[in-house]
Amino acid sequence: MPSVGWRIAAFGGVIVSGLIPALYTTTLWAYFPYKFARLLSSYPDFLSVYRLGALCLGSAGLGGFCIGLAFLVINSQARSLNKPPGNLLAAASEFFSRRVRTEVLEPTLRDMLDEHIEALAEFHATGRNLYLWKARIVVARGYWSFGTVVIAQTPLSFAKWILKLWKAV
Amino acid sequence: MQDIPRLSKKERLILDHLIHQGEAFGLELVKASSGELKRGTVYVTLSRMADKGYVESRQVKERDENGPPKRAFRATGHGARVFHAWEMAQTAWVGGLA
Repeated sequence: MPSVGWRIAAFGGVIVSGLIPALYTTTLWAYFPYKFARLLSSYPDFLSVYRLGALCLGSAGLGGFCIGLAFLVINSQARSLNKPPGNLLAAASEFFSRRVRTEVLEPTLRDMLDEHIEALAEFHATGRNLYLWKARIVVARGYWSFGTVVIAQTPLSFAKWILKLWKAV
Repeated sequence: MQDIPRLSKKERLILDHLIHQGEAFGLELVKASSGELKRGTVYVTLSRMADKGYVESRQVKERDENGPPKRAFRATGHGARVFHAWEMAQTAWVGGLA
């Protein structure tokens, strides 16, 4: 399984090397069919060769982009099956006090893990992709819940900290 | 005369469930509330209720379990008294209107 750094590098590579030429090619194919017809029917000159090169490069980019996207999708499927989600959130919860972490953030994470495991167990039992998507939705909802908890909890924690500081002074 | 402590709608819902159904996990409360409680805010509400002394909680972790521990919540005596006082006040108020 590639590390996070490799994933980011692969994703960046796909975007930079594939997406830009792919968009360029799509634009050419979509908006300039007449010019391509002329290009194919006329003698090649410097500009035509340049365009042909751009077309080849763009097609290669489009193919690369599709392959890269497929790689990422397949890899994300493998990840969702093999690795429990929420490591990033668990690391983020370290920024909060022990009490908030144990009483608010960890139970939120635990609920997400439980629902995720439940959905994956259903997927393994039935083999239906519906449950795989359910597992992904659970993770997305878990991240959303975690964000909501942080947004709801932060002002309270900040107010308590200010009060503590005020009493100390 | 001492005022009855205030209870929000969510707090009433949680106390109602904990008093009548017993100890529960956060996710059970969310599922039982049929949309009234959200996953993102139930633990914040429970934490505030614990600050007020309405509920108490304990960590539940089995020996061969991975991941963060679960947390089970139950109503305290104070929470139950506040809930019943609130119910009586509500009944009296509704009776007064009728």
